[in-house]
Amino acid sequence: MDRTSTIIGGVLAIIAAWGLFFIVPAQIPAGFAGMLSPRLVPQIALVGIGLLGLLIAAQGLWRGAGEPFHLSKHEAAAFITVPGIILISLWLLPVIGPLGGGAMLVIGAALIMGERKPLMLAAQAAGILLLGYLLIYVVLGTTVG
Amino acid sequence: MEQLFLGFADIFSLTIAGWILAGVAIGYLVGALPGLGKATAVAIAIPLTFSLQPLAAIAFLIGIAKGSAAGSAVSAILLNVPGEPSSAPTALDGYPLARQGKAGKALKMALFASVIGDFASTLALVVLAEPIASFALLIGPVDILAILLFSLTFVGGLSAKSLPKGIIAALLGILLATVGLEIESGLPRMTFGLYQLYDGIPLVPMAIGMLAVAEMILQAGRRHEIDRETREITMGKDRDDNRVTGADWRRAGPSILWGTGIGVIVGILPGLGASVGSFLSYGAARSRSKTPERFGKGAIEGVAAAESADNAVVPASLIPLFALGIPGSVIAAILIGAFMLHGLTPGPLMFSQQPRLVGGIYAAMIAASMGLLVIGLVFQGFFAMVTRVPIRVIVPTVLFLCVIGAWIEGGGAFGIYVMLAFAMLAVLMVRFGFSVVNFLIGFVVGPAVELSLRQSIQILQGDPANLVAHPLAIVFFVLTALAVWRFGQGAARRPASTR
Repeated sequence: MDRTSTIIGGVLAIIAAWGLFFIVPAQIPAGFAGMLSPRLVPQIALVGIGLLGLLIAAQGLWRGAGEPFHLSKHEAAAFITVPGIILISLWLLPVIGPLGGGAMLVIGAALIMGERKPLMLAAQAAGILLLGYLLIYVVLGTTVG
Repeated sequence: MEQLFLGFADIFSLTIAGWILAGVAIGYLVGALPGLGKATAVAIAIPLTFSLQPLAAIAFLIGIAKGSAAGSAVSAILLNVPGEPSSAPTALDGYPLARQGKAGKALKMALFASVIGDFASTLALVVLAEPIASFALLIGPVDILAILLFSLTFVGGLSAKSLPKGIIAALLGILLATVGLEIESGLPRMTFGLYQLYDGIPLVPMAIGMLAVAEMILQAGRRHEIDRETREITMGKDRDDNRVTGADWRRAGPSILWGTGIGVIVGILPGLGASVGSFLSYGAARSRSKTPERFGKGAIEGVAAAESADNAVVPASLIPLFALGIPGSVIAAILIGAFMLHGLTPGPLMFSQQPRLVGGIYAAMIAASMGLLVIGLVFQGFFAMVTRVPIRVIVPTVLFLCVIGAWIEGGGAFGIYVMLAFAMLAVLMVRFGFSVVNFLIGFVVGPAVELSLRQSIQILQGDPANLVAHPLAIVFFVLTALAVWRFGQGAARRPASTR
């Protein structure tokens, strides 16, 4: 049995069924009489995803052991920390301002990448912020606001 | 032809020519950095073109795409780390050449082959796109629906680990393309009360997330390996080791011509992509060679074959986009967003509605080919040094540019949330073998699929027998069925562990 495929297929089929029976009726009005329903394409897509999910699950049950799902320790850490540092910088933006937020993002990302020298961290933050300023405000003549 | 001359007149201004060269230089620079590809570069650059005129913006982005396709050979040859998968065959012979002290020769041949492939493919685009578009104007919604379904099935079968996974990715893209106000009734769909979703999910932050941020997450997870791969470059002292000699041209010339032809054909067919082109071309060069045993040990024609095809794919992949409005590759899917941002809707009508702009784009593409040669020759030494930039400097820089881009294009914090959500989705899709390319193509063509489906239901009056009046649609439905059968067969023959 290919366990990964069976689980992925099963999860997809459940998500598709949830979308079909709960999300679509709650989030898309039935439409007006005499017109094709606005639910038509989302429903077709969800039915397709659900059926193909079941097919993947069934194929996983029939065939021999497949490639196990692999996410290394470092990849798993990056999956959490990279979005995490972006979100923290964003949430702190009103408090520390754009320069502080930008610096926090660059330094945080450099720390995630293994940079530990304080001078390099400071130089990287200053360099990238200056590059961003020159590119957006001077070369392109626009703003980020 | 007249529009092309007018286009040249338009681009010969200091501003537009400057943006073309800047695009090529930035693209070359990004391509030379290990692990950064043309899709990442273009996705990040789109929001930066907001303030530019349409022609300057599109020329800049096309310059980036062309430059990064050529630049990816630098890291493949010097570090044995392809800038993107399509440069992997370049590394097979380019890296052995570099280790023999012939890095200069390999880099120059890669550049010349790239420029020839790119230039010839651009000419094919100029010659072929408009006639195909004239034909496309004669086809109706039923045919368009059949062509779209075939394209999504074909791309799905090629780009994912299995056909069901490829089609699921496309369906997910189409599903998410329905978010927002429906065009016909004006009713909101799956907006969850968020007014920012009334215009739909913004494409650019989504593309930045799925292509650039996801790539950075994966690179961050592999940082130890990438750091280990950075090595010293060996440059030979003999003059002939650093230039392309007549003997090299005689060896590589036929491979470049074959590679260009293969690249153009692969580029026109939706979904095959530059990787298929460069591997096919490399394989063809080896099978034609009288000394195939030299391949993999430093055959200059191996580098030429791979690079000519890799670069020929980029302009050729714009042929279905310009002629039919169907993006056949991820780069075309991203460019469609950029084109629309600047008021140009790719498809058959653009030749009659905005002929001057189309002429300008063609001229800019030809100029970018020339710019590629000049910038490559002048700055090759500098780009070679760039490959030594450690990954711990690249990732924070790219992430900073991604955040700025998503903020500008996505209307502030909302754009960043969209970018992050799709970055995480893309990482999971990659790891589980689903096709990010087909997802993006599904998302981009989603509105066209919905519109043509609605029109088809009305035209056919709900009776499939009425398809008889649409022979082209029947041909594409049959092709779709054949693609399903063929890809299904292929999957059934492969052992589970290789899928």
